[in-house]
Amino acid sequence: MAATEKRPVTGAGPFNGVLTWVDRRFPLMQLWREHLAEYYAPKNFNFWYYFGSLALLVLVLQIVTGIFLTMHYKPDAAQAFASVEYIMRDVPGGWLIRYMHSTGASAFFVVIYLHMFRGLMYGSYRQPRELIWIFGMLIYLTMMAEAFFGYLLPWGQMSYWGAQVIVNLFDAIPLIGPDLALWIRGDYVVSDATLNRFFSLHVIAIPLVLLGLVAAHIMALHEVGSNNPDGVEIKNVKDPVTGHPVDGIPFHPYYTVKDTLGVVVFLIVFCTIMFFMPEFGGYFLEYNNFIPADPLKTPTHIAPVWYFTPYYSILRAITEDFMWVLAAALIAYAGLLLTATRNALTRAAIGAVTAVLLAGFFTIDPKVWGVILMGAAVMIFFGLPWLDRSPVKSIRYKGALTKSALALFVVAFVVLGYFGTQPVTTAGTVLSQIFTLVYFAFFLLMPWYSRMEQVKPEPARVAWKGAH
Amino acid sequence: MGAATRLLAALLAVPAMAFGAELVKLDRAPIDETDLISLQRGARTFVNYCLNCHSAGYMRYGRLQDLGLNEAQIRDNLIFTEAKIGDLMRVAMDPKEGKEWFGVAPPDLSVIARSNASPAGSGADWLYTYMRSFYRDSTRPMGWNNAVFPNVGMPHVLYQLQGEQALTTAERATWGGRKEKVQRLVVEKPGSMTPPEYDRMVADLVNFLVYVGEPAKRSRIALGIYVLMFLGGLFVLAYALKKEYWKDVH
Amino acid sequence: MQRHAGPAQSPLARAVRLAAYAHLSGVASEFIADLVERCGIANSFPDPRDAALPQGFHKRLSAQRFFKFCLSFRGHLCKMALFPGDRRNRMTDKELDQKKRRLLVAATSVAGGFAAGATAVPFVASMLPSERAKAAGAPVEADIGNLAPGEMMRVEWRGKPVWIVRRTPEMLATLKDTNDKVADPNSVRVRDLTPDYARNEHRSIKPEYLVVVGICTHLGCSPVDKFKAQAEAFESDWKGGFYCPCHGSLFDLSGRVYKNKPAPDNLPVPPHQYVSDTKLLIGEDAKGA
Repeated sequence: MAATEKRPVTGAGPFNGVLTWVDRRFPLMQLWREHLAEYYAPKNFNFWYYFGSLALLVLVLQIVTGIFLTMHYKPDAAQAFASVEYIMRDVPGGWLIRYMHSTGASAFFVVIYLHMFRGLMYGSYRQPRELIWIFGMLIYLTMMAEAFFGYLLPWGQMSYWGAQVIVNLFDAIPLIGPDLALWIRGDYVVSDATLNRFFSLHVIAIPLVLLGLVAAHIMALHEVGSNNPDGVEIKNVKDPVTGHPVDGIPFHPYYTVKDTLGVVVFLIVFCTIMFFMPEFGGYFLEYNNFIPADPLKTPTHIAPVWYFTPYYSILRAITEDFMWVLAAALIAYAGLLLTATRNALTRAAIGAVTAVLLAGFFTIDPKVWGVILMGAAVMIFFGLPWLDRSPVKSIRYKGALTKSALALFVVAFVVLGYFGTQPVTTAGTVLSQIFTLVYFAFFLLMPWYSRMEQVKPEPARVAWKGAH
Repeated sequence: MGAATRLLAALLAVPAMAFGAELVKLDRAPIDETDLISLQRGARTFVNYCLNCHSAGYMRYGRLQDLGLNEAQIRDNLIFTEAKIGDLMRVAMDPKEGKEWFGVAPPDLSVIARSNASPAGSGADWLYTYMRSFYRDSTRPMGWNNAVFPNVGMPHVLYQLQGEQALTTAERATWGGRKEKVQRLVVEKPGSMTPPEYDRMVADLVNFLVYVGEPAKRSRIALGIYVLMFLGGLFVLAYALKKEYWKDVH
Repeated sequence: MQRHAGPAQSPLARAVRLAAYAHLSGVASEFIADLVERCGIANSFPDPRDAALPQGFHKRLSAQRFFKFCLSFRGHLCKMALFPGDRRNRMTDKELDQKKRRLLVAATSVAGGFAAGATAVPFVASMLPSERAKAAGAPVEADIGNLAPGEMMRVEWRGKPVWIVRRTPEMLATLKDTNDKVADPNSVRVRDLTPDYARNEHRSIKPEYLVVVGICTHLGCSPVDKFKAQAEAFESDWKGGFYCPCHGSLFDLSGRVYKNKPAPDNLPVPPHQYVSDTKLLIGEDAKGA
């Protein structure tokens, strides 16, 4: 029915015939129009809006380089380390593919953290984009799993002991812990069995999940339309004749062209690192990982790769003494929550939960709370759409409180990240503890400070230096 | 560098020794990675002195053509076993026996220059300082100890060339009326090489080990330069393209 | 097509036209045109977007830039200078834009395509035989010093058996008899199976030694050596050679396949050379062989 009613494709020169044939059997032109030629995006995208397309680029890069690495890598504890060196030395061009993959892994996290920061700044997680944010957070979690599984594959000292430590975290879970860890490892310690299954997860299982989530993320975005640095909904003001948002421009050709430029700049930075400093001071390729895994010898200084270090810091910061601070903070927060509601049932619930948690603080090992808080630090991002109660979306119009809070959060993230790379020191622990509190305060206090502050009025149209 | 006295590893305070190699001050390795002759000398030292116990099991003999040698030269001068030119630089020592004899099996040296990097210095610096920091220690099974790697299982293979060093400890007054121990390595019995000659030989060896750690390094850097030049040009084009289309929007 | 009167041919305009001519012919003219533009004489060119050009856009002179220029709208300006006052023949702003855009898109696409192709190179190359594969397939030395006349030795090369037979004069004599029994006596059917130096009756460098890959060219079994010249069940007039038990293919003492047998080709002769009288290197031809 619809197939024969569609207009033939024009404008593709010699390809018109073929494209028309395809279009009658596949929604080719519809997809082209909806997602590229007639997807209207705000015209005021700035620097922070490059990172979405860059993330897509790095994903493709990792998959392609991963495919070619898998042609030569051996997922066997006795051969893995040697196979990586085989790739570096004996496979023609193998060293380049390996460095692309290792630099790409770190680049992926740099791009994603900047992409998430854009979301934080401009309120991209706000209604009606909560689901985009949730899909994005799921992608983040999946990426962390992918990186964790992938890191075991070179079978170096850091690979082995990093995996050992993290799997042992699961061991710490009360009741089911040891069995769970045994099931994950497939053995009593991280061994060949673990390596083989991590290989399978890293190469096919998680990438499939990742691709599905990325598709969902983009579909959710296109359903609602993109946010912009001013946080104003461009769909509110449409041209009466065309029906398109007046502050919108078609993604193709304007953003295809702009993103191409973004890609070139990114490649310049990426290639500089990959060709001239692929180890990046031991952050992208850790020195210890050039020693083959030795189950009998633990390195003096185990640290996760840099992109996990903020959470690692939080994990290590939860000491016995700190439980008291946490208890005090919990009581203060419960107090705050109680003022927010008059409902007797809610108040009772708050009281009950607080009591249970307090009991837990002093009965369950701080190590377990470390794991819990580390997990919470990641999961709390999911709550952002509901924690932000500001009347405006974008930081441009928010008040001093939010701006300071966001700045503090960035500082906390970076400082926690730094201390996560260092061995434990007293000063480091104290600072990590302080910044753990700052980190959580950013989220948990947001419902209050986002509402209390004086905000600037949001404009009806995007702020634009040229004539509208 | 002084002539008789050699201040190799100035261990600042006794507590620092507790952290072992991490806080030892490392000397800068004076290597020039583009010097093929230095690399060839290093290869010679390596196959003569090291390749009996330590393998370089990811490196093929044939790859040494990177150093400006041809297959015949490699076969005649650098292969002392039945190994073929395409073979990996392996050794016959059984790791289990190596562990019995030395306490730990002699590690493979293919990527040793990459694994020993640390905030204290590059892997080359570590190796350079290490090979010059052996000293006589009668308490150790082999009779040797090392200031950079305390209680190492390796004996001083090159002692006939460097001579025998001893670790002397002296006390020195520092600020606030404290005293600190200063340890020095002093050559007690000279070897067949003078200190500068020995240093040069170790530098060549370390240079070779750096090369073995990543033989593709030179290709990587050369290719990088071309790629960045090309990307610079592509940037100009992409920028012009963006500016042209965005004229519509501005 | 109507033409309305153009601007007066003042000495100024003429000078400008000359400059345009020079511009079209190449090098120094670009500089002159720039000068012309900067001095504001460009007002005689009715295109207002001329002023929008980034300064120094055409500063560096090269053939590439020249050709780009010719296709660009500044080249078109020159065309206007040469044919003044012909407004209606002139392209509209939009068309000029389109041309420029098409050029930029084309240029960026070409450069991008080159980048993509260059990036594909290491990936494709990574699938070529690695050093390990090449080392495993490296030439093999065979010591033939102890090989007695009439005897055969086996050597493995690239996972395949290579036979070295030291033929006696009697064995060599049988080759004349088998010449008309074999399908390809001169080893010309498949060029790669036999190196040039083995394209003879004895199919070897030295008549005494036969070096062949011991795999039947039918389906890959390894034939059995039957060197004695005697009547056999498979051939009453057997002069000596090889018999493949799988499907009955026969080869003479030079490894040449008999007519009307399942195997289509002679036994392959691998590249080889004599390093010395007693050492054979299989897998590599002598230089200049």
